[in-house]
Amino acid sequence: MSLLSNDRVKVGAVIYDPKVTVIWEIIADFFKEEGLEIECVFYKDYEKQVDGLMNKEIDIAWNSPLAWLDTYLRTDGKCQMGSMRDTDRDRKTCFIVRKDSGITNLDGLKGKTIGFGAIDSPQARLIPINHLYKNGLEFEEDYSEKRFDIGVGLHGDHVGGELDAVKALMEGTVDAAVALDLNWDAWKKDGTVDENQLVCIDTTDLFDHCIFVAHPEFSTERFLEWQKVLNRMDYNNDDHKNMMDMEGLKEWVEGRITGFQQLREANNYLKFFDK
Amino acid sequence: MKKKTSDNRNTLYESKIFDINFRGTSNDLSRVKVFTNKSSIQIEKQISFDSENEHITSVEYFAGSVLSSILLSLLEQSKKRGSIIEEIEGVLNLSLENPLTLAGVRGYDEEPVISKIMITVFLYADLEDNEFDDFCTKALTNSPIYNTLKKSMKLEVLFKKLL
Repeated sequence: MSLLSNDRVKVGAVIYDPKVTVIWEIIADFFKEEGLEIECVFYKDYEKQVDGLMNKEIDIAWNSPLAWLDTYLRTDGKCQMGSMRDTDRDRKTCFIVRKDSGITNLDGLKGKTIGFGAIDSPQARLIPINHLYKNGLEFEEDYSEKRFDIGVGLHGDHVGGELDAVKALMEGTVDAAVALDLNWDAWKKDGTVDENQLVCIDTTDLFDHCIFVAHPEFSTERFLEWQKVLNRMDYNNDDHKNMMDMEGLKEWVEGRITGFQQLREANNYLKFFDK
Repeated sequence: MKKKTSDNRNTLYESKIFDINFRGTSNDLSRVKVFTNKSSIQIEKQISFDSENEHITSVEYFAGSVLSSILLSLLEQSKKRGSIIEEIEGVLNLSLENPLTLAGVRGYDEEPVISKIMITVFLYADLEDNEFDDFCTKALTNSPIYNTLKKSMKLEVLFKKLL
């Protein structure tokens, strides 16, 4: 663990595409230029990354919402919350059906087959299942789940599962599908989905996505110093803009845990971490 | 009448094997410099996942060797036949398995390996279809790099005749 101020801060990230390591190399170069060196440690999946954080292999983890919850539970709520991207705030999941299905609201999904993303995807499975439950549809009773388990362990980072569910909807093998609002909007824009064929009938309440999380024993002062440097990334600076575009943000914003409430409810409802 | 001999004592090593030696050094323990007879190449990385990378990597040199060897074997064959190739272009697609091991991602330890190479050669040559196929196939047998790799990996070469 980096306890001395001249130690490099070890930052963990989950990587499924080698090209993403380039983004982290650029971020590491930025930190070095700002006088605070970081060492990037890459993990295959979020479970290994949370293990790494707990074992103090890393000081800070770039966590998915589910990895945040895993860390939060494993540390009895003592882990430290850091920044998130502006785009991580106030996301929602869309419930999509075919326009000719006659389904106009969640009640219409009773007895139907719904396509979900990977088993561990917050946005494409856990949160929407919780949303259905809050709207009177019991999991494994009121509808059938058809899961598209692409990239299990990546907590829905890989868009594959969501996309396969939407493709199944277009092919007619499921009656509805769920997708993160950003993906749904992107697919409409690039022609992946035909807006004349599909329609969003409902959305979940707003939730938050990825967040930096530090080990409870990592120096809070050092963590604040690290975040201060992170927040110096300026979208108006051309050098930074490229890096921020690759990471999908215009601004780093203060992290918060209120946006993870639905995920906590989903975990309690599905007993996800009990399995 | 000359008598054929199978006596190995009459077989000169040099007539069967051409040995080439190379030397590689690393002064800064970061980059590698490989010397040829009269030149040298400097290589900084085995592979780069950065599309902005400007330095030629080991894997790129390897792919370049494969593609150039195949194209050159065709051009050499063409010259012997009176320059029948008027235009030539090749496209190589290489599949590297287990790249995340190379990227140092914890949890991946499978050996990185080039598992597949697909090459398409586009040729403009004034030959009938049968002649064209025979010409390309025969020329390919003169590529030592192709002959070596075809025994150890999935290596496919397609020839497409430009009209």
